[in-house]
Amino acid sequence: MGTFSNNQEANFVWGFHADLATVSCYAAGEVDDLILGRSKRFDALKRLLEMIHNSLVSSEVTASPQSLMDPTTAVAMNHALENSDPTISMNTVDELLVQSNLVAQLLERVITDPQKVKEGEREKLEDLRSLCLELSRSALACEEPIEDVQSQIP
Amino acid sequence: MSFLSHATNRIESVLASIRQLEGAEFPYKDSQDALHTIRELFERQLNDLMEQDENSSQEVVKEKCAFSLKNLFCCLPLLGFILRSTNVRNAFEVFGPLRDIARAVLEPEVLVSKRTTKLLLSSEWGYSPVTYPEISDLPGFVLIGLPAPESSNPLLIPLSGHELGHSVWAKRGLAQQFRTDIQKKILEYIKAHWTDYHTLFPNVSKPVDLDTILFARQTWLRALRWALEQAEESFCDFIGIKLYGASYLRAFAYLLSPNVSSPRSASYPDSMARVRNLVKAAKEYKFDPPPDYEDMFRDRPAQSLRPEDRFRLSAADDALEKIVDGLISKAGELVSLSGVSKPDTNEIKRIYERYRLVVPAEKCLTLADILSAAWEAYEDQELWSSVPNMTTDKNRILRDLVLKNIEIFHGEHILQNAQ
Repeated sequence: MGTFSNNQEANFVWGFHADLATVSCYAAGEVDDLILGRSKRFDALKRLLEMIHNSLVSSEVTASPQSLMDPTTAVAMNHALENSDPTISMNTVDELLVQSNLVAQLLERVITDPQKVKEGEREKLEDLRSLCLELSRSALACEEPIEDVQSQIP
Repeated sequence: MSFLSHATNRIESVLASIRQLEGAEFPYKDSQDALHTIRELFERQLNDLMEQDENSSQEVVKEKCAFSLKNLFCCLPLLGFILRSTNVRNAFEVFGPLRDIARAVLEPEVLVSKRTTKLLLSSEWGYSPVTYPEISDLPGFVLIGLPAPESSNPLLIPLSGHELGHSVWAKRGLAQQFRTDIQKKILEYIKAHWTDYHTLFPNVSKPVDLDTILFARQTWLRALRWALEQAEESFCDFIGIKLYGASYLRAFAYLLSPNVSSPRSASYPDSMARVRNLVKAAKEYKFDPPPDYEDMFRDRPAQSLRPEDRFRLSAADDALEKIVDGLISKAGELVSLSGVSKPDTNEIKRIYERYRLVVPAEKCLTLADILSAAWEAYEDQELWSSVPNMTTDKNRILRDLVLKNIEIFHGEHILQNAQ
């Protein structure tokens, strides 16, 4: 899986904030564009897949969730999955990793063959758009409010 | 869709302001480059918002508008920073040497002539050296701000080492590197204080659940975040010490002793723990801390926290204490890799002897030597005592002398590279 360099990141629409919240927001936009038939690029979806993969899906994580799983991404993904689909209820880290893997697989399919997913799994695309929005909001909830960050005295 | 038009209008307004700023005079191109980078970001975001229409998901559009507003919150202070970087209040003499150090530390693997790190050096109307954590990843830029009343005081330049440390921390992905270890220490702390923890979080029934059950993980997530923030701040201190030796400790004391009269922030170690770590790092790097250094400080009052957060903060403090040696080693290793020489006692003495004659020293080897000699001179109560007119204006004369010395140092460095 390729990685984005800092300089590349600066050239994307989300700019300097390649955090989970921002990237998920723009990923939702790319899915929306795909649904509307005007998709041009999948930069945010690729970046989101990379983030989920590195934090929750890669073999190192599944072999040892305690040591390598990114806790913030885990909390955000947990809330996002439960908020976007009320039938999902997770209690353990292992359950979260299984669900995250399913999300990663769907992202992979969208990036690899968007038209096929659009034609065969339109409903899943709409779910993915909702999930990306939820993920963005859940990741934001893990951050400090911007007013607090800006008033901090170092 | 009024919220969309509000968002695009806001961006157009900031773009107009940026274009206006671009017409100003810039002593260094780096500030101009930063403006261009930010302008291009807002232009891309504006184009993206302009492509949204009534067919677009309104939830997505609202979210994008919200992020564009967040960008304004983050970038507007940065634009002010860039504007102030052009102010003549800044000690422009230090710009070149500081950028050389930043490039060496951040790009040690790149040939000197190919290094590209840019520096924004500014005077700020906040009484603390600052970076902008929310935009610390402005790619390829290091931001250093000194409080306006002190921004032409070369004695405080060592504190720029701390600010540079934030860029090193981000660029080297050190949060990811240290997170596993910190997490382990926090879990060990909880297990060692299980009765206290269980009283506060009765829903977590057994230690084994701490890292396998999702809601149990959330009970210590804040402790992990605080410990990581404390680790970053400590690492940045160590970068400053490794680069500037005891002059970092002296500058730190000048700005922050005995403490700020305000409750302690959980993102920083306790004042005294921080000072003890500074002394520890100095000794590890073979620098002598100033005598009775710890006595100059005292702890800030504890913040009024809920019992759960008090426990989390104790866990974070404990984790920091246990990983501090690793942070000292890592900072030392990265500065050594950069090839920036450490301050040299003989050189400091030679430069200081010149200052006694009120003459800058030629052929200095490092900025750190000059600043260390400056601190020796500042603390010498007898310096220039035989010339009454000079003792009354000692600090101003010393500042001018040191800035002149830095200018000569940089000029010689340019000539040396050109030959």
